[in-house]
Amino acid sequence: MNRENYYMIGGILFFCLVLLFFRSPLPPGGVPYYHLQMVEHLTTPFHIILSGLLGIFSVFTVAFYFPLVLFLGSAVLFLQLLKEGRLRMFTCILLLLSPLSLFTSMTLHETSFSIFLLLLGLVLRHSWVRFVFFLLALWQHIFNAVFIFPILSWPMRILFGGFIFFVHSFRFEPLPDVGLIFTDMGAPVGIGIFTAVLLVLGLLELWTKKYQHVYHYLCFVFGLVCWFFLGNSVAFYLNFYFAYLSALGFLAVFDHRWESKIVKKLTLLVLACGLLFSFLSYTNRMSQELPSLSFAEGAEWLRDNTPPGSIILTSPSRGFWLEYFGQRPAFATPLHPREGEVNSIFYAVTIDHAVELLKTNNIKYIWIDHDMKKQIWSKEEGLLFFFKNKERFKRIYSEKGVEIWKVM
Amino acid sequence: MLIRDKNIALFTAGVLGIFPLFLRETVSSLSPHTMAIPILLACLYYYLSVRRDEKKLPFLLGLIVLFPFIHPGALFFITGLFFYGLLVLTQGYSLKKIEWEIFLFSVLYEFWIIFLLFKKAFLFHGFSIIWQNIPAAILNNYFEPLSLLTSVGAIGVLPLLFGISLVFKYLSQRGEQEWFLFIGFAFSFFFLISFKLVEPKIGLLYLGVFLFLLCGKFFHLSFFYLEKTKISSYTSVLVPSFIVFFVLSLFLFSPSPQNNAPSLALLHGLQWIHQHASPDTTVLGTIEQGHLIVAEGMRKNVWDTSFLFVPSANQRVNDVIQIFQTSSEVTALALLHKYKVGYILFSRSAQLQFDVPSLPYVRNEKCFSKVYENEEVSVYKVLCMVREL
Repeated sequence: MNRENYYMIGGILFFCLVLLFFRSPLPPGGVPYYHLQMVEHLTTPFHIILSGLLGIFSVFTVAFYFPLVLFLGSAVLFLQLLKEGRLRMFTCILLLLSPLSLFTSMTLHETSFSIFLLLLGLVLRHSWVRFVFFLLALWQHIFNAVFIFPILSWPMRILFGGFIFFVHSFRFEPLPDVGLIFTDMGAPVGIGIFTAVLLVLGLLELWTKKYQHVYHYLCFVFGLVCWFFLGNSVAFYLNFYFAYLSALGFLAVFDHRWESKIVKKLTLLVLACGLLFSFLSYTNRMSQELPSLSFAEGAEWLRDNTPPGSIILTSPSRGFWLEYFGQRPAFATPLHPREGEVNSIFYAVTIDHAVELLKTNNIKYIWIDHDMKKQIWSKEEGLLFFFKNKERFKRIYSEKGVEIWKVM
Repeated sequence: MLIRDKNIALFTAGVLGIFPLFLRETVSSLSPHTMAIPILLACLYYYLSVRRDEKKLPFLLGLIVLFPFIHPGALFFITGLFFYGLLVLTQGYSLKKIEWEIFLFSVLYEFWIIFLLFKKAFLFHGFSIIWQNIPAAILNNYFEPLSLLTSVGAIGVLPLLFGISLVFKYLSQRGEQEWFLFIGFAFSFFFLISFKLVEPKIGLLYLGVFLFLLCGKFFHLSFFYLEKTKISSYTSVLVPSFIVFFVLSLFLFSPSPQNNAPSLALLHGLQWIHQHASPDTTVLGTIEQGHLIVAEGMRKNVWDTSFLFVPSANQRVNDVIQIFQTSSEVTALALLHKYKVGYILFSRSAQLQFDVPSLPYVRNEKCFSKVYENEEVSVYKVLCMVREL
């Protein structure tokens, strides 16, 4: 085994250690809980596999380790596609230091599975088995056709294109702000500023051979456009491509004939520290992501003390957690945010109007937590103010910043 | 190093140190820019030295490494270099390899340190950190458009004219590449002021420094030209007259340097707070008095000019404005209770700022007691609080 492979193995071990050390007590974000609920429906290959795994391992073992295995598997397959050498080593290291990789390996997400299937198909590109993986990837999500497209004949491409744009309805989730692609600027999912710098350097390096790499420029622009218009799921695919481009950038800096060796060493040191800083800073943030244990306890209390089928009102971002831990239907979830209706209740001007809306929607309980109080209401107003009316609302649970109110 | 005439260099440095805004912001006031400006200029000095001889590189690298720890103005160095590079390339000159390397290193290093130092602020505000979380009501005053007269008054009429004329000369004709460094920096501050990326007062301060440096070259070229004419025989009379005229011109239209200094009466009021108020109390004053309350009164304030980590800054500003302007005692007490205010420092500047001759609700002696008064300042102690039934 050559020295580069040792570095790559070291990188993977470091990544796993960081992940285990900074692991949050519960799987972060809302998406894993959505998928854990969807397991019953067996609608996609991902949910079928998940269901199988849940039959063997505990829920949290699957929620913690399955994404990690999927990511590491995808990383190894991706590296298999690259030629041996320094570029592959730097791609591996930059891939492992990417905040997107961290998110992918900490969160149970169907896109990770899609990527794994696609990469498996690409690695086995000389075998007929690849079609099985491509079909599974297509079944998982029609967006994956974008990657299968280049290997099809022209009539098949036209057929597929028509299918994608006329039959399947994409969910457009444009990013609200361009700044929301940088995790250093507070983006929940994205790339680090230093990765972006290396990406630019990588593209500049490709530009030295001008139009020889025209596909790269097109892929880059297409990827960014997709990310902005289709949402953060696209970023998981781009993560691998970005790692390759930034490795090109890093190598360009490394191999450049510098006038001053000390400036070269310092620049490389700052680059390495910057990448590490972005990665560790994001790791720290992810480890503090909700839900906390107090959320799970509150939701379990709800499950044990309320009649089944009672609709719970809370912020849409809490919907999946309530449904998973509390086993009660949430009025709004990230999938169906019902923002208009939720806001009209949260910011109701009169108590009568608020109660009327709650009754109309058959809402029996309201979940309020510390963060919601800070994020939704700037002062004691709307529903938060109406809670003072003891005839209409009764607090039935209050522990560790979580409050559950019953609509009387 | 660049002017090659010690007398002109000395004169330029001398007048740079006394131009109105520089005097007000650095000499007569304790400001971080007092340190940031010399470090920025030292960076430029060593940058130019490195262009000639790389032996000075460790000094430049040392300064670049140190700068962000002293002041975030280290980013001015990068923007200045960027504009310099842009100017040089568009004028048909080329950058040396070492210049590209220094630029790349500076960009990466300065941004990394700024990210490390202000990590929380970056995560919280994202790109809007540029506006430092300053509430809208304050932002309009903070970034108030500058009038021509204010700018001229802050820098001086002649330096502005001489500096600008040199910029035009260099842009229209070819000249030594080194001077484009100062022109680039002057452009970068002009850009930052125009796009409201820096407080106009601070932007003008730095712009002024670079215009003065360009003035030095203007003097050099002018005297070089005059020496070739018949006027050169009158140099002994002309030069001292010009120096007097130039120095006097600096203070034409300039605001008084003592404008922002706190009055003795205000300081006495704060000393009374320091001696008599309980140590954990909060004192409400105007926004400009915020830092004084902390530094002189040694008590917590409700607001000051720094909003970077203040949650709901807009709400806080609106509440404070309401406390000073409301006539309702209940509203005032509720808001005073919200910010745990123990004392109100009501000064003449508060009267002018909020357009109120007095606080109407303080007449109720059960809830407010006037504990200190002098010709400019009244201190009221808050005795009541609003409680919900």
